Amino acid sequence: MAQINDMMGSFELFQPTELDGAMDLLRRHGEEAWVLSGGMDTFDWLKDRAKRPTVVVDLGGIEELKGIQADNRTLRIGAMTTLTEVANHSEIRSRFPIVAQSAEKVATPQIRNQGTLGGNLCQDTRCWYYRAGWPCYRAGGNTCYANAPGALNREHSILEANRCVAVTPSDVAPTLIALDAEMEIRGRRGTRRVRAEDFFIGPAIDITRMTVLQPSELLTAIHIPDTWAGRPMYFEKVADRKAWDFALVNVASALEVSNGTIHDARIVVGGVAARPLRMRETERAISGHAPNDQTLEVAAQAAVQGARPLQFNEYKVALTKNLVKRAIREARS
Amino acid sequence: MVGLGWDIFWAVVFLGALFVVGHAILAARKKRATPPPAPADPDLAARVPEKVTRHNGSARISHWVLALATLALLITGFVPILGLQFPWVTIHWIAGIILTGYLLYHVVDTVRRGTLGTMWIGREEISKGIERLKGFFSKGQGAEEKPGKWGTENIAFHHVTALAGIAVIATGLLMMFRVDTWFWSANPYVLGISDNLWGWVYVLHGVAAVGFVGLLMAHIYFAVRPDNFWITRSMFKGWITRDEYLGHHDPELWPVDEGTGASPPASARRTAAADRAGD
Ligand SMILES: Cc1cc2nc3c(=O)[nH]c(=O)nc-3n(C[C@H](O)[C@H](O)[C@H](O)COP(=O)(O)OP(=O)(O)OC[C@H]3O[C@@H](n4cnc5c(N)ncnc54)[C@H](O)[C@@H]3O)c2cc1C
Repeated sequence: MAQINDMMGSFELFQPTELDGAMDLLRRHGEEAWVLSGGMDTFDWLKDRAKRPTVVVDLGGIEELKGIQADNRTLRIGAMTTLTEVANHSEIRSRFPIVAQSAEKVATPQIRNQGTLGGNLCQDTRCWYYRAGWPCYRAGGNTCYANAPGALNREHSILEANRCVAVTPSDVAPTLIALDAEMEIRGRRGTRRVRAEDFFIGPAIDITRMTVLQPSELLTAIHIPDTWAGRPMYFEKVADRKAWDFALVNVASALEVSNGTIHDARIVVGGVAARPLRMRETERAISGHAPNDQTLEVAAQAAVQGARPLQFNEYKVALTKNLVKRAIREARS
Repeated sequence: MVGLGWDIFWAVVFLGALFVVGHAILAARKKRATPPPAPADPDLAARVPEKVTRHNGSARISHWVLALATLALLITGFVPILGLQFPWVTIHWIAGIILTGYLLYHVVDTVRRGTLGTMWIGREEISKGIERLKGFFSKGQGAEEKPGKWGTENIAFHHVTALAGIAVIATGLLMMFRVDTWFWSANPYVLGISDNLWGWVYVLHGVAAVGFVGLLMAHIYFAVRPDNFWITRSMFKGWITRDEYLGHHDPELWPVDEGTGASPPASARRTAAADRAGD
């Protein structure tokens, strides 16, 4: 169990200044090593001693992981770029406003100043049973405490649960999937690119991980193609409070609309499953149709098909439906 | 307690590899010391058809179904732990159901054919097994007694596999209640099993599963050994040749029908054995 004692256990801290150096360290220490970016998620784990790495590799000194570069085909955001920088960047605001909006909705200004985009995408789930150090499935155990009778599961999943009912916490992840971004990953065998949609994984694939990243792999950058720039898009986050709180449900969309008809759409919902879910049925249902009330109703229904709410999160079904409708109706260029 | 530490998987793989290498070395040494078998008694040979049925159609089909289910279970069970990610849970429980179906079929079929007794290990089988083992380890040629259809080592392998199979199926069926299937929604509280007991269920499932890894390594090793090719072939084609039959088996213990080459029904075999005992 976690010990909330605000004192981290001891570990060896490495502060490489080059990516190759960091990769070397990760290779050498494998599963023992913990990657530290802004520390906003990391320090919770370490202080609560729910995770006890023996080695911490701080990416803070690696300049090549920082910054935003744009050309007319893609936008490359280094994994160590802070959320504040992402939210304020003029190219991002003009070409991909939903990325800036979603980054701006994260937590508080202080956390956004310190937290990085890479860390936001790689952060672990906020399920309190898991984070409190209960030996649940995600922690390598054999039960889910959040799905027990009377468990506090108001924030948990309604879709795609597979033994574990935790949800993805990131606000930025759905927007990157909606814009068909790619994750640049550095590993033992060099660099590979993974579509944002495939970067996040559910418990059916690996119950102990939220992403495809293996130990000793690093997310180095995020590439957003120009495909959806200038098209109607939308982001909305619903949380209990305007600041601090994680999304109960968030939604991101990017549409291709001409002559009043939707020709293509990408709609992604966060907070309803362990990974941000692309609503493919919804996308299919609205393609070739005008965004009228009837289309929206069909779209909303398709989004929650197969939903299995837990004891305290039935409200997420209605919330998801309404957010999906809004993501279609209110998308703006 | 929540489950088995997966390092044990590597320990079993290591031990399995050690067994395979050790056996291969000993078997090569033994082969050099063993002269070719003496030709069979021509009278006896005349009574045996050219092809002797070792595994009939249903036995072969069920063996390969079992093989596929086991492979699917081991791949879906262990490959994700080794780092290759794919949605494994559904394939795993479906393969588990197939394995359970196989077990039920096998038990019913064995009872129906009355061949349960062929898997008995009594005092005689134990002493024969020891003799064969001694023969294998001895430097010289060793007086090796031929077994009936199954040697003691085959029967022992069967029993260990059966034990691991029953453990993995019983625990697996319980664990299946904790995932969504086509038949029910996940219910982590099925039968009111305590957390501690669940721990044991997971550990037993893990132990049986890594046990299967070792058993499968040994099984595949014996199947691909050139000197066992005749047995492996019979699992595809069903038959062994007259020479293979007479060279490796004791026709008294495993009599075959003169016309068809098939084993006579168990009841007939029992009568024949009783007749011989009375001779
Ligand atoms: C009070 C509070 C409120 C919050 N509210 C929100 C919210 O509303 N919406 C939201 O989206 N987020 C929210 N967050 C989460 C916050 O955005 C993340 O904790 C933060 O972005 C993580 O970034 P970081 O740079 O601090 O990463 P760290 O905490 O250092 O790392 C997070 C995880 O990612 C791994 N990691 C980091 N970088 C990499 C990399 N480059 N490659 C591989 N692995 C890496 C680390 O090992 C660690 O497991 C909140 C956090 C707090 C503390």
